[in-house]
Amino acid sequence: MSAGVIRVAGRWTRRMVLGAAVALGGAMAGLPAGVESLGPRAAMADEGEALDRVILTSGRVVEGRILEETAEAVRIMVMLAGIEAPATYSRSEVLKVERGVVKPAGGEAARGDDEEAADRADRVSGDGPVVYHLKLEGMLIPDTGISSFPPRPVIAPSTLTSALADAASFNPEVVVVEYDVAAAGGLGGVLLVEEYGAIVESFIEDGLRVVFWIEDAQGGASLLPFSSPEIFFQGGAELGGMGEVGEIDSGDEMVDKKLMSAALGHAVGMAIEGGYPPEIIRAMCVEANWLAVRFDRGRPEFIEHEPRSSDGEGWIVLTDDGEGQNADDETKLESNDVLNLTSDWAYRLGVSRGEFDQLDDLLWELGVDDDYVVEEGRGTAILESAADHVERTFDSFVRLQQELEDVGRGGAPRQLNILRRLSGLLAAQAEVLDPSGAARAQLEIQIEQLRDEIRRQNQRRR
Amino acid sequence: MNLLRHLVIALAVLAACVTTAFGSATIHLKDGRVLEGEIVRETDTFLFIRVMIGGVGKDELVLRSNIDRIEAAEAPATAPGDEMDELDRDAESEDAAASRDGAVRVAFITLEEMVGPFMFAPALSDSVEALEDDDVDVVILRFNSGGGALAEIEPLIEVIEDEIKPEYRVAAWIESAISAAAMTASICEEIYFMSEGNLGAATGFRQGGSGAESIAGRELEEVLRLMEGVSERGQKNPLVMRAMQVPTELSVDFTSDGRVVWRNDLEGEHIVATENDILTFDSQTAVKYQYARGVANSKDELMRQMGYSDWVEVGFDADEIQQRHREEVARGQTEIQKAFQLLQLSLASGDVVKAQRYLGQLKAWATRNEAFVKYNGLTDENLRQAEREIDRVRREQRRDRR
Repeated sequence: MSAGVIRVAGRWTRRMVLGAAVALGGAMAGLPAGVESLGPRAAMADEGEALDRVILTSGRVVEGRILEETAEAVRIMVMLAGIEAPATYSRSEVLKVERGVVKPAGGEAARGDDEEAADRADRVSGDGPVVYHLKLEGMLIPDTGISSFPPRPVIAPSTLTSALADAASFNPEVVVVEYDVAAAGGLGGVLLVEEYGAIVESFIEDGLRVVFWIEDAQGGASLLPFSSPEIFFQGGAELGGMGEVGEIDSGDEMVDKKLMSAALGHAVGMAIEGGYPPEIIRAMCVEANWLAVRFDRGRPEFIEHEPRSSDGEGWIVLTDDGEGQNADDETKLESNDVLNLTSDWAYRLGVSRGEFDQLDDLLWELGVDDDYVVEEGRGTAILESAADHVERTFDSFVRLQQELEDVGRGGAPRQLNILRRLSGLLAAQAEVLDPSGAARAQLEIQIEQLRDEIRRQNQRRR
Repeated sequence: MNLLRHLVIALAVLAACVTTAFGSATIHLKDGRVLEGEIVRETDTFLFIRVMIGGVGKDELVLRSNIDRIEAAEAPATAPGDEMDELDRDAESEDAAASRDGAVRVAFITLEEMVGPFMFAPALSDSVEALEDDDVDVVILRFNSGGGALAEIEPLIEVIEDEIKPEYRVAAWIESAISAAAMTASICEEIYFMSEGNLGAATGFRQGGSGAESIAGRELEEVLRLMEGVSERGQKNPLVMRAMQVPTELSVDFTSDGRVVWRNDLEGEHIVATENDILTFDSQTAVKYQYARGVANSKDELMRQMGYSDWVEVGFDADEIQQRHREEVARGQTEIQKAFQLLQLSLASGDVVKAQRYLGQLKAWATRNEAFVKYNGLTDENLRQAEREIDRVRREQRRDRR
């Protein structure tokens, strides 16, 4: 019996680095964390030489001299009560490593949460309002887990939560989310984005002013900004590419209609909560929908059918039904079967509140006082670090799968070991790679099968 | 009618959170600032007011939580059905005040995830039982589900109809009620939506090896008939639920006094559904067509909509039962599937000791929660079959040893 493998879609192979093993998750449990031993003070750094800083995922910041940095861990020499001590932190605990950024001031090198918070409070308690700038760049996770993986950095729901929580900790006047995000389109995109929308909405409900500043939003990700009442565009930005939500092939036309209806109900609900016209969402998601607009004292009025003489004059058709002569010619750039919003149209339709290329200009429009302080906090680091962990875990997973295949029959004990490691990797990034737990359950069964095989082999030998 | 309008405006001023309808207004903020202008966009949690600065209009975002009061420059236009709604709410308000001296006692029960294993009638019945000692007046069933098993709809409806309605005022509060969840919620006469809420897409289907297959023939007729009855008991036009189940022409006219008249064609003033689609209401359409009584994004808002200014939340144990049930089902589903597979594996390899152990685990799950029996195959018959299989392997092994 040969142990099966969970196959990974082959299209995402550019990061299949078969280098040194990247131990993560459960495998890191054996690594010593924190201070290893204390010793007499040695020369931590030459007088005036800048120290290094390790930012942990817990929010703790450790400063000292980095001794060793590997794929698995970071070792750093810290000062505790004037005594030098090496400390080791597993990569899964480390958010960011900054070298030579701290001027040694004597005394303790390791800084606790309180000190960090005090620093933050000092900054925040300055005269000017705080503006938190979060660059959200990447791809929302697919709902297919390990079987399909996106080619851009992954933004998991928990990562977005952490980044916004960091923003909230600064008590900012406004959080500007500079948004360059893609996601699958169609039905899957709609269902996927709802979870992220709920996160943004919960922070807004708690009083955080979250503003989306669109650089590019494609597929299901184009719906997420609607969770906020304030959207701005950058020049040349586009929001759209939802694709046809009705493009479902469940095998039954009636079921397709049901799924489309449900998905649209979710998408429209998000727009209504953000205060946007639901007609726009329907036009973004459904090819068959007509959308025409005219303006009454600058305010848009919509109809969702082909304009008739009884509707009056002045209608501009934004999307048609895509049928017959109305079908888009894919060889041409312009298309109007579904609505893709340019900066100009987003503004005219009341989706965008304006186009700004500079943060300063955007903040002026938002009414933020001139003496504002822009904070980037740890938001970007959180996003980058989380995406990096997922990517490395995925790489390790692919590599181990290959190893598993290479071992082949007769290497049962080694196969067993690899399967356990695969399961550990999935557990470490379960939210992205195995959200349902199904892949891990399958691995457990494979492990059990292999154990039986080993047991039988041993019995035969006796 | 003028008196009624003044009452509406007065309530809006007092609460500063009732929908204002677009128009000129003066907003007094809690920080002392006063904004005058035209309200150009609004939701239940915020609004935009267009203020004029140096002759240029600028839209200011104002969170409702920061508003002290709003003064409307003119009475808001009355939408069809609003007057009836306000009269209803007035009557409910009086009823609420008359029903007891102190605060109205309200229990919120969350009904979430898949109808069937997670939204399970016996578990709901347990929750209702837990309400008995709490002196509850009102039960709110908060729906957030993408649907599930048709087989659970009738049992759930029976619990709502026979155990909840006779004892308490009950309302469905919709975050999302798709398919079987929509069918279940429709038994409630009173339905309220959250802003993002949706309800509909109730087409029945089964997932076979060759893909999805919508129910048809006699099976479909039975479900359509069932839902006609449920709609009537929930005081709703059955055409609406039908349009959620199968493509149906559905349109609406409003009478002069704002009542909705449903039509099974496309000749009405407002087209609601056609033969090309399945109906799902969002919060705006649900309220517009009076399927829902209002939109509320918080418990406070919901209580105000239901006419209660003085209320207290009770019945926490009832909801905890639902939460515990859902957690147990989520945990159990994976474990049961695993134990089933491992049982088969053990039998295939002739390890009866292990097989017996996995069977023991499955029996324990079956005892722990009825939902596993109904929805995860842990029936007596299946478990006995597994026992017989283990006995067979054991007998074969004995025979081989002899």
